[in-house]
Amino acid sequence: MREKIGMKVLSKKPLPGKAAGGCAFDGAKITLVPITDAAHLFHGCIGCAANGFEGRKSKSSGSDLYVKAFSTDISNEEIVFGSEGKLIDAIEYIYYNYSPRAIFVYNTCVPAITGDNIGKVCEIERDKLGIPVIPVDSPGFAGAKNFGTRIAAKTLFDYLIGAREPEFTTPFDINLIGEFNVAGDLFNILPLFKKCGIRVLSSITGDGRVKEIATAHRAKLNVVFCSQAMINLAEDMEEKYGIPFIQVSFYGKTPIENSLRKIAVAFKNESLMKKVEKVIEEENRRIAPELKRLRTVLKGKKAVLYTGGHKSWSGIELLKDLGLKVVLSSGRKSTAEEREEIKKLIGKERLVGQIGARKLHKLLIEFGADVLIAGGRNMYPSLKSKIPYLHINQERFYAYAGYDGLMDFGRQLEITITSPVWNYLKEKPYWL
Amino acid sequence: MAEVVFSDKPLTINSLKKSPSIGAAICCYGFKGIMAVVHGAQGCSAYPKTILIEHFKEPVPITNTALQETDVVFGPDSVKSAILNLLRSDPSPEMIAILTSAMVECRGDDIEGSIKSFKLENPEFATFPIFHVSTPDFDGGLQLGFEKALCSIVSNFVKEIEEKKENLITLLCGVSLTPGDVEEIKSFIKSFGFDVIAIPDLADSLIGRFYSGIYYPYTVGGTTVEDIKMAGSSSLTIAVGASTISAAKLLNEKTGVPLKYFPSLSTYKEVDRLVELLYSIRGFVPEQIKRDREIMQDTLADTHFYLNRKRFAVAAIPEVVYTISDFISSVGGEVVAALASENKEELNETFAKKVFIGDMEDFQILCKETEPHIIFGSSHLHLMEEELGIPLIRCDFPIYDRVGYSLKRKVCYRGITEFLFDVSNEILSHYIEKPFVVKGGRDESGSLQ
Repeated sequence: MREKIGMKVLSKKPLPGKAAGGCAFDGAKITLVPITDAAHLFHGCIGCAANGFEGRKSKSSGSDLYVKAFSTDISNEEIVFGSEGKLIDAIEYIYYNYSPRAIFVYNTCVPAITGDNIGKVCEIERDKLGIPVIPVDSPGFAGAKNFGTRIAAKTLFDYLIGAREPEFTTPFDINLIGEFNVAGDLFNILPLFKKCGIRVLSSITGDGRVKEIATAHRAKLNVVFCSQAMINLAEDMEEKYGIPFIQVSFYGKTPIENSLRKIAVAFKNESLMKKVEKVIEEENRRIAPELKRLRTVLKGKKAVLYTGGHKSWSGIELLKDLGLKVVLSSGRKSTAEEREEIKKLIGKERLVGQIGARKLHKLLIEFGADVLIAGGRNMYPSLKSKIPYLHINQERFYAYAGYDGLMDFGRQLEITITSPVWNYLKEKPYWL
Repeated sequence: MAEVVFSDKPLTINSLKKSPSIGAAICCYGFKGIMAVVHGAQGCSAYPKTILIEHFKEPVPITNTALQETDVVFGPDSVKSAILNLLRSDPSPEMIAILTSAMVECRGDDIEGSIKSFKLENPEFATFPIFHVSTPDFDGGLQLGFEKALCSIVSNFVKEIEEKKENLITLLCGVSLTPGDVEEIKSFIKSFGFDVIAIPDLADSLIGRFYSGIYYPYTVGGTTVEDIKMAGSSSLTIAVGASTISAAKLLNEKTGVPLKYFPSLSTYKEVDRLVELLYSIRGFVPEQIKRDREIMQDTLADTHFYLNRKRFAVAAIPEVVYTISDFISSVGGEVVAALASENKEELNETFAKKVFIGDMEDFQILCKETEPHIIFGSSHLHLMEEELGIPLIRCDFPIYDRVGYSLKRKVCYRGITEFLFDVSNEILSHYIEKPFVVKGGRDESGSLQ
């Protein structure tokens, strides 16, 4: 029996003046906002809604309501005299003007310390309006971003999952947990499930819909994408509804194939296993020519991978598939098992933790890296030192999951690594 | 003269207002070796950092005091430990700005007191430049934050210097000026033979810098503390943009340096006024300036077909609303819809009948009613551009879906010339150039009758 992770997070207490990364509110927001047909109302001062407006590129297949940033934008007087009244008016304004399937009400630092009773307001409004009005207790000071994703997961478990019964069920119903459809990753994965005959009952939360998530308790298996973000939801659902869960990754050929096989094994179904093998074979045949071309271009290039969670090992697979040599990867925000996996893939000495931009810059130069693959906040140690760079986190415009994602990842690497500008930037003419 | 009208909704939908702390941070980036510390939760600097990087396409130094639940309840002095952690790091910053989040303002933290007691406890840093800007989200927006930061810089670092340098001009740069604009105004004034101290100098810090071998997590360029002090020895202060006015007055009171104020340098008349001022001191106008003026005049003639009597809409921070409407009316266009993200005095002077204070939803309703040809505003308005089919010209903050905005200029003769082209081309491509084949040129039967 594995130990329950629950609300425990791996990140250490950040140091004032040295802290990077988001807050708990940020984490809750990125986790729930991909639910596309809900309205997301940020109760508090304007920055929480406005500063991150349009910041995540989670895609939708239908509604665009989730893009809208609703905020109570509380002012000086409202802080003094209370803002619950304004919150009620805001909820009703949204209900009558935008007809959402649900309204998520996020608590932020200021109402949290002035003591607004958001839970009560939501309860009253839910009864009055007849749609789920869900309080998300996520003030930024509650902890780091990671902790916020757990708060969000707990909220879905407490308020939404189990609220409805699905119209029909199949023997192969699964939930996807922790895939947020950044740049449309989910849309590269769904066709694979369809070909295998696996039915996705709900996606939590990428391209999520309120009705679907409400039926998630009837799935036969939970498929968890991120090792950290919403693991507590899978645990809670196992405990309450007896739904087993497995962890998967769809970045890179080997992880995709292992994941599909893992799902088939979990269902203990012979014909599903055969179908999965057939799909894998077909897909491999389909991508073979382009993969071969990319491997020729990228062969032997030295890559530094600086990301977190499951991407820190599946990213290595992704790069290896394309013929690159991973000289360094970070195991920050990764579980002990994931760090073991990284060590197996590239060797113990090439695994680092949270090292910060300054050390990263130093290591990039020491290793003579040909490319850095990281998140936006670490783009400049590379570009400002004239080293090719590729986004792997939420800033990217391309989906990297699935077989098509692997190809797109390869093509984006090709674009940055083979650019003719780098040679010119590094040359120093005698007259300079 | 415009009437200012407020939205009466109980909420904000797709806010165009950003945190004052972002405005204060932008101001800070015009100074060398600075680190901006937001006193609040981690998100209070994480969100601004992402958006500032996307806008300037440059690394920006911003961090936070990472307040956790226990700190909020028991309140250890996180500001002091943040300052100490920064000063002990290698390399350490040359300046520190403490910006306050709504939460700590609500709690009533005494930041000035923290800075004082830090300096008492650490006498080796007694003269280290640290300043505080009060930037709670519940008071104003980006522009107010910028203004307050500029005032704080002036009140903390500018000294009265009796001996004036005739050649030295202090340039106070407003929030609407891009790094490219600052560069343009600096070189414009320099061409008359002056030395210029720009406060803040975004041009020096946010345009085209590489690391020279070592990693440097603070602003690489910008005005130094020593230079700021020298502003007191200038013979003249030139303030550009409404957001500089309170700092400009403060500077004038503190140092007695005469002040000349320009609400905008994006109209030909205002640029002429600047030339007149510099000519009155120097007695000559550089040939290049005369030539640039002629080129701009030629452009005004060439582009008037597309701009006069056209309808424009603008939604932005007050200074940008003022600047754009001033420019538009100088070429005969009409501002049919104006909306500001926060309220400021200069809006009363805007060349529009009414200026609304509101959000993107309000602006969309306004544009549906008034049917402008062109919308001016930040990248966020692309959502509206798609829905209404009205082309958007990007200005304001943030611009994240275009490259090169930092270098764009719309001030002085050269900037106005370029801006005239930008606006005219947008009109040309959407309203003037028509396809050869005209549907409905003949009736359905296809006969000429």
